[in-house]
Amino acid sequence: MMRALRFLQNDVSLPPKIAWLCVFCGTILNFIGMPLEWYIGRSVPGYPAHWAILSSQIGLISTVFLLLRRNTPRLAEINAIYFINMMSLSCTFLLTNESYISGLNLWIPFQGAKLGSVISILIAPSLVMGTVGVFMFSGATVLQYFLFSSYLQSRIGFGEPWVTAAFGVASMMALTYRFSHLWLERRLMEAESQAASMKKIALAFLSLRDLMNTPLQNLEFSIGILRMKKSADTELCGQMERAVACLKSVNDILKKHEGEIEWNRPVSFNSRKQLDAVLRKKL
Amino acid sequence: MAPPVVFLEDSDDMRILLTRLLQIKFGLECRCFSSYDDFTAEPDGLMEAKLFLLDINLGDSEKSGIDAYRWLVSRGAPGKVCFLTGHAKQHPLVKEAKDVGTLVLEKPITPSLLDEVVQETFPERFYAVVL
Repeated sequence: MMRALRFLQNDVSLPPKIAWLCVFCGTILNFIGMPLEWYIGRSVPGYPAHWAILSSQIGLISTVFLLLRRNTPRLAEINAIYFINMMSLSCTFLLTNESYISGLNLWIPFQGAKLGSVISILIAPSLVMGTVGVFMFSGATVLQYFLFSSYLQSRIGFGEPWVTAAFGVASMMALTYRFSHLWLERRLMEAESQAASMKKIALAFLSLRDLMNTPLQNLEFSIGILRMKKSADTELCGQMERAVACLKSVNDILKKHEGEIEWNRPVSFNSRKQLDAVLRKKL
Repeated sequence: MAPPVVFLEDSDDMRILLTRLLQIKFGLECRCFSSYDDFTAEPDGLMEAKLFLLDINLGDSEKSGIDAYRWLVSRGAPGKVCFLTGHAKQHPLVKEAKDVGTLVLEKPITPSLLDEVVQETFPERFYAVVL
């Protein structure tokens, strides 16, 4: 449950280059698909042809823009292009639906919106944009259905608008699956990278401990020898012991990370060289 | 008479300090070696030692205290073996050595911990000092 909430809190986006490719496919579809829509609908009485042409032109401009930006794709721009193209496609379908309903007796309703729903999840650059895309096609069409007059509603085939709504729900499920998979993959990568960093830190701490412990041991033995002498300054020895205890507590902190170490290295090594290598990220 | 304590350690200062501490506190003689090669050259009386204090990390690309321990086992040394390590208590080889009954002490050890080791190995010396 918590994982699902965290997934919803963070918008999951594709990497910019992949997002670019997906949206580029979408703009090409708009550019090529809308003339096809015009071709299909041109003989329908009252069909507003200019919307399809306008949408195709938006697709062309978007394609050119994306081509110019192919080497430096930015997610914000890609999201904007996706939104504009999905909006233009959706509006074209919404604005032509009425002419199809009133002009044709045999019309399979809202095919464009259903196809748009499915395509919008395939090319969505992010979870949020995909949701917006699905709503623009399925949600807006369902809403439009209820705004139609009862006459127009009666001319629409059996099952609508629920079939379109079902397409929307199924599309949302597929969209969530697609991006949850991506999100989990990213979390796994993050965890792996964190574990690798922890191992490096642990190795650096191990080297530090090895460098510290011999001088600390020498101090311990020196204090032991001093204490054996009759003329020993006990107060001074006590102060030295406290200083050693303080350094030992630092040592204990470093020791906590020892569990992260993979002991596949020789037991004898040069701590100074190893520490240097870890800090230079050579390991 | 061969020294009863043998110390294998690559730090010059620590060799000097431990030798002095054992001498002052318990009157024990300690024979020191700085490397595995010197240690295994087997000077006279080495096998008669009652306590072997072996540092584990003896430097880059050097044989370790574990190798020295294996050498001692192969020669049938009867003395008690005690490892000193600054970092390798969790190393599988060290754990293995610990499992067969050797003592592994983590640096820095306190003089009182050294007292306990000496007490176990040389009870007569310890009582002499305490009394």
